[in-house]
Amino acid sequence: MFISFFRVIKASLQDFVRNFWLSVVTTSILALALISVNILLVLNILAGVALDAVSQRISVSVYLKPTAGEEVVAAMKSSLLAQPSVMEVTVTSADEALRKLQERHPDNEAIQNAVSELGKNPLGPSLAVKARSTNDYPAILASLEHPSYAPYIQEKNFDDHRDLIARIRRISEKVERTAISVSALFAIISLLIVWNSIRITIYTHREEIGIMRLVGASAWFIRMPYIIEALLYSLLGTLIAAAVIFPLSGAVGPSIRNFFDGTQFDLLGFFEREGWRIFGIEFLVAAALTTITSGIAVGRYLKR
Amino acid sequence: MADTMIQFQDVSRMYHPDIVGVTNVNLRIRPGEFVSIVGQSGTGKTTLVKLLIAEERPDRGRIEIGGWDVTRIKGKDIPLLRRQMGVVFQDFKLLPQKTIYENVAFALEVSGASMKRIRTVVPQVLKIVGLEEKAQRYPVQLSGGEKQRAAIARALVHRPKIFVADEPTGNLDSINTREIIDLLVKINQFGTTVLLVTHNREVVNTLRRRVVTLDAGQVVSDQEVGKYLL
Repeated sequence: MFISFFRVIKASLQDFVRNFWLSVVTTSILALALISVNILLVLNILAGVALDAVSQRISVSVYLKPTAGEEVVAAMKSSLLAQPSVMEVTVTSADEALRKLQERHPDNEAIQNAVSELGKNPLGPSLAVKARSTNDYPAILASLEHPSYAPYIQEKNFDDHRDLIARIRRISEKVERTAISVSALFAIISLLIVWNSIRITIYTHREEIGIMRLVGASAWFIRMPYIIEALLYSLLGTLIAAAVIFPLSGAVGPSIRNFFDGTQFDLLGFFEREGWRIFGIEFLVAAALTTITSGIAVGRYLKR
Repeated sequence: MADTMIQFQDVSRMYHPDIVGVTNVNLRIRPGEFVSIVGQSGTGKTTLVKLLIAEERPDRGRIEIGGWDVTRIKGKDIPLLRRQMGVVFQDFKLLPQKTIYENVAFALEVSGASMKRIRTVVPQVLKIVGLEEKAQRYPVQLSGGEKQRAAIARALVHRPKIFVADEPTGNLDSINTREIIDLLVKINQFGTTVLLVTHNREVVNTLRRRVVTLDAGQVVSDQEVGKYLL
């Protein structure tokens, strides 16, 4: 058994080398399919990053009445931060709000005069709330309807953002659906290309398979070298894809960060963290596909 | 029967209702015989070979090889049957990506022979067919006659009891034809039963051995020391 296994391994390696160009073509097709899958994966991730970047620029401001004291503001902030859906709460005190107003309109005499005539700060403090997801805003703001806080609330500008948030949600859902459809379509095309290239590879060996049968080789002895060769194609194809994707990620990473205006997303870092898992899964899928295809294709010629 | 190596009993093989492969073939070949199966193209000679090596199964009748009923042979036993027989064809059927040495060794490798046995036997058979100097060449680097000798070496490597040659000289010139036929006679002299399928009149007539003539899928003549009749 051991000697047969050794011979099968030797035969597959020999065949791989002696049919060099056929091996190069099959491996290249596999590598190209995997590179395309990875590029699509990156595009999917970037679409998500883009939507996150836009979503993170949205915050809802809750303007409080001037009567709301520091303890009320602190309690509301704590209450908001206690909610898992809240990412960040920024407090602007009444004095700060007034200072910002005056700074923003230094040449507007009407505003400057009105503030002087009042003799006191007409503005109240405000809270800028950032949610983890745009879907969470309605629930967060509803929580402020609590009787302890409601009397202090002057205005919530959620209504101004409602349309924008809804639009982002719609785009986000559409992008997600499109990504899934394009990915599925692409996966099917890649599967068909790999399936057919392996079938063509086996087709070119059909006469050899017939000769092996004639000299008394068992089905196992004929089939195994082709299956091991298919594993080799998959392994090399995955390694080539990884060898292309890693430097490519490093090269385009800065451009992506610039394009998304300083986003923290690190493409190379992502592949360094997840590469083993991504390329591991891709190798397993490619190996399963190529070995099954080889097994079936060889089987066809074994029956003849 | 100990004095029977191959037996065809009422064997028929049809490809379509109106296309006859062979029909009602009865044939008994004794161990050590040299039998030429002759006939024009399409008379069923190659069908007979395919039935013998279990590449096809008869629609009717029974085929026995050394007492083994190959009509009902299981798929997994076919490789075992083929390792008992040496078969060569007109188109040589050598593995193009293997050297001549590897082609011959392959027939032993598939049966699980040890490396030691392969290293001993392969050079011996290559010497018998006169290819020891060309062992490391690939089939494409050999002439037609050399390719056929390589195919014979591969068929011989198992020391088969039966040697089947299906039109072995079909692609060869007269000098190479003579060499191949001399080699088959030599193999027969070692005690191997040889079945030569041919339509080469000159070869059959100079051999002066048993000749079975097929016509339209039927045995029309079986002479102990025969000539090409058709």
